[in-house]
Amino acid sequence: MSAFAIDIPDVLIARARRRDLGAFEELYRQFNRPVYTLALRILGQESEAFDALQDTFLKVYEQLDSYRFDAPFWAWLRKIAVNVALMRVRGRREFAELESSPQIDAADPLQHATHAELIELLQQLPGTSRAVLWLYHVEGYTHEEVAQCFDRTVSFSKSQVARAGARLRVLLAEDEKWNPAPIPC
Amino acid sequence: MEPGTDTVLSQKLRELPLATPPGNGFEMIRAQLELAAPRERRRRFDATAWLGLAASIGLAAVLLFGQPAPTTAPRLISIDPAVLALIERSQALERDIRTAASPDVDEFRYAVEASIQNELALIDAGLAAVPIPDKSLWSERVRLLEELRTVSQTDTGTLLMQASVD
Repeated sequence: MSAFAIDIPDVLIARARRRDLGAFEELYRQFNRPVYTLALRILGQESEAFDALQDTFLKVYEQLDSYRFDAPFWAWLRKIAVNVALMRVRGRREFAELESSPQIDAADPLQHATHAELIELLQQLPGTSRAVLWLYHVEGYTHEEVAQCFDRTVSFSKSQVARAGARLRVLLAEDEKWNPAPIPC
Repeated sequence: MEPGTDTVLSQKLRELPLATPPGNGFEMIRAQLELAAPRERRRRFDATAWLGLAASIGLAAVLLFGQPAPTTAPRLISIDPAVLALIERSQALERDIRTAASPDVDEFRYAVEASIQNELALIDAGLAAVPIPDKSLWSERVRLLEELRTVSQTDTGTLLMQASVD
């Protein structure tokens, strides 16, 4: 389940649409962490993620009138957040993506990976691959939806998900090799 | 590993804790929205101009074709409670404006207040032309009075600064 999946009463959205800043602040309070986390995982830098968070909410405020209550509000807001973050990825003009899937023979290093290790190693993936991985595995986007976001093919999404997953495992295995867990006395 | 079957990776990534942004985020958004407000207001002024035009046409029609013939008995009109609330709000704002006006009197303030009062006059003409209290006109009247009250209670320096940002 995406961290965005928060039910918001229609009456709160209606108040925010009437430019009630108190209601809008409540929407910000509910969604600032999911939006910031998404932006941070896609963009990899705190300052840029914060800018993306602010841009997202300014766009939400501008576009509230176009929300039609026919889909969950969180899904509508998440779409804006994803677009803002991906616009920034495109703006960097870095088009690096993974081109091969390295394999490891040992046991899956992910099993014992800590949060800190995983967050650090995510940063080592190329931006596009990291964004595809996050949208697919965490936000639950389908390959078709990911392909649409990047204006690419479904096989692009499938290969990036597979390659980024494999690269993360290799990085974790290397990390373990150079920084083995302390042996208990 | 086939995509779609990598449940270990999905689970590991989903377990990562949410990150927390710096705490002053909404204050920055509020400041940006308040800075943008004069532009928004100007857009609404355009809408007001249309309302004013409609009101003027209504008034002209009344003047040209005369008042409708009076009926033998006064017609009882049931007023929408929302409109009634707007009328009461409007009266309260007028009282506020009379009692709490800024002591600063200068050309700039006079021009700003006169511009709002001109728009109020158009709205009033529109209200006089319609037989049943019109919610959108009353709502616009309340908005203009709120603006007038803000202007009348703001010192000239701040008004000038807002105008230069605008």
